Amino acid sequence: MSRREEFLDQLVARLSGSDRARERLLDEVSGHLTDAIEAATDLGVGESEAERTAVEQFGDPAELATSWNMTQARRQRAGQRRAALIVVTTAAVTGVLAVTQHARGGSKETPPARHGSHAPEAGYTRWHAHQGRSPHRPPPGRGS
Amino acid sequence: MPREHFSGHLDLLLLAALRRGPRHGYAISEHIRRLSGGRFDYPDGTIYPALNRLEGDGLLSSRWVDLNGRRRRVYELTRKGESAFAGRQREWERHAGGIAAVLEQS
Repeated sequence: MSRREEFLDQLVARLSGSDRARERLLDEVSGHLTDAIEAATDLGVGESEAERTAVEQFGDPAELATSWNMTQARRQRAGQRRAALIVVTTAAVTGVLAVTQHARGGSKETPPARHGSHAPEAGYTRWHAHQGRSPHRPPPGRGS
Repeated sequence: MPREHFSGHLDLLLLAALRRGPRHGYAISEHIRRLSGGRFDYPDGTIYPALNRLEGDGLLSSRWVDLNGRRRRVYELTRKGESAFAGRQREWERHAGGIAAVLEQS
């Protein structure tokens, strides 16, 4: 296993968070190492020495993983706070709209039949009454 | 410059490195290293969590691009990032100017 592969293995073993976030960092680090190695070999440094220098210059994979995990956790918490704020705001706006609508509609007289037809339980109970049986009793011929 | 001093100014250096357009991580690191004349001793890996944090704060955005057949993630300043850079630069200049004045006149 090359130094570079060893470094990436050590890094991935310590990363937490979603697969997508981990893959993103690994791809970035891998690209960074490729560019650093290539820049050194372009200057005449041997491949092996260039790889060793690039990996050493990158630092300790454990420190990088710890730092990255902290920033990812912070971003996730911020995302959750934003999502919670959206839910609360939506609920508040919906509530205000409902109250406003109720206040506007409150002065008008609503026909009783129409009002009743919007109540699912009323419809459900009435249908059973029409069938001549209780909504809570099984239909004839069924059940034990 | 000792590493702990560098860390304190890393955000400003990253924002400055992206001031003139998008760059990927290696290019950012090389830009800082070259312009600072190698005065900062820091591991290259240090910049990635910082870039991620700045992106989370809305100061940077990032996307994958194809550069000469290679996939690289490039970062760029958002409007909020440009404004943050201007503010932090002014703050740094006041800070550095204050220290320089004391050093020179003592």
